[in-house]
Amino acid sequence: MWRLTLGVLVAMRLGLELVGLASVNLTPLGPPNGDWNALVGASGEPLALSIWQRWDALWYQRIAEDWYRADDGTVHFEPLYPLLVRATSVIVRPTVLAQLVVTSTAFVVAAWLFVELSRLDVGSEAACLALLLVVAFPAGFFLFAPYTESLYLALSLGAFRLARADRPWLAGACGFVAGCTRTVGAFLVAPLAYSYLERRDKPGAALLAALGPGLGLALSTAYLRLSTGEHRSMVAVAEPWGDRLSPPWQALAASWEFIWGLGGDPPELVNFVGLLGAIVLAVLVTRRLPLAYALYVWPYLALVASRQSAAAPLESVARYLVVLFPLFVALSGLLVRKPVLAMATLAVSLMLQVVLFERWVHFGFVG
Amino acid sequence: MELRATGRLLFSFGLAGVAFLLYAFAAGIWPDSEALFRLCGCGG
Repeated sequence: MWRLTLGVLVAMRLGLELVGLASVNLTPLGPPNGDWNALVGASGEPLALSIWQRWDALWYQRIAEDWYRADDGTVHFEPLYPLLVRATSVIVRPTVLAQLVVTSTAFVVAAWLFVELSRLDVGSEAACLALLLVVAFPAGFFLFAPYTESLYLALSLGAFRLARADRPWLAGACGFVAGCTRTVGAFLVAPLAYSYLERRDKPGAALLAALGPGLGLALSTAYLRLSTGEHRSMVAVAEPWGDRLSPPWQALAASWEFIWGLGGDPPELVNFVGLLGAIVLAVLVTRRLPLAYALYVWPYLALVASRQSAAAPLESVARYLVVLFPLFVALSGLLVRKPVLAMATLAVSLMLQVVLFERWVHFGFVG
Repeated sequence: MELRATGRLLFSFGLAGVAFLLYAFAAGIWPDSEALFRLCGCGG
């Protein structure tokens, strides 16, 4: 299995690097767009590295280099990924390379756990296909970008796998660090608790361990606010990003109008179709996979579908879906006995990924 | 769905609710909830 995970890593790293460099050579970069753009290439990073310095990657670079400060919005970003990058950058320079090392290492662990966990439910063949589906997903390149996707995926998969092995404290510890990586880590509490309630007559202390992800999120947030002196609430800190809550049907309707008004916007179209597809797959997850997965997927989807962004209503949704691994396991269960359809799905998905990645490299916002 | 399974579900979500209350407190969302109201589209 290690050969598969390492093979996928090398293929995707090389493939994305080639696509990124070719697209920059064919269509020269315009002016940078976003925050912390002064960091792009500032340490003399070669083009092969600087094509990864985009959007949130720059926030994480900024945090890894100068750590958190009050009033500059950095506390909006959870601390584990920049902490690991900061530690790695002691021996690996420049910072963006340390970011890619952390991301790539996390991806290998995530991919191994992905296959290891999902084959328990759908068998080895479908588990491998599920891994290919998530990697080829249009927003799958975020698993290789200097973002938190790979690290969070590895930790959430680790928590599920350890809970499945009835190791509640280790699962809770894994969930704790997942909560220090992404806010949505707190969605691991209910599935972990449910799996112990289902398996044990007297779950007792295991339920306390299931609170790990929530504690990780709460403590890391408290640490960020107290250590920086950030007096605003986290909702107030997030206000410059322009998100607001609305019922999912309103977000979907607004997204459709946005796409229609622009005559088709590729990232928003992927977000819209991706969200609808995710809802259909969540029904499959509920019917065919262990119920703990449904307890993870539905609240996560409810939040993602209830968040409307100012720039594009469903902005970043496709990226948020990348880590929702049970959806891809359910999809692979559908496709594993239909090789032609599976190949077609992978091919179309990869083509869309190239389109989105090329856009992202050119400072277009994808997620 | 059988009664025991429903109980398990309710308890699991209850525990998740405790986690979110902890977060809300740590994140300063509670007791200062003005920004939350703005996020939901009500209030200034």
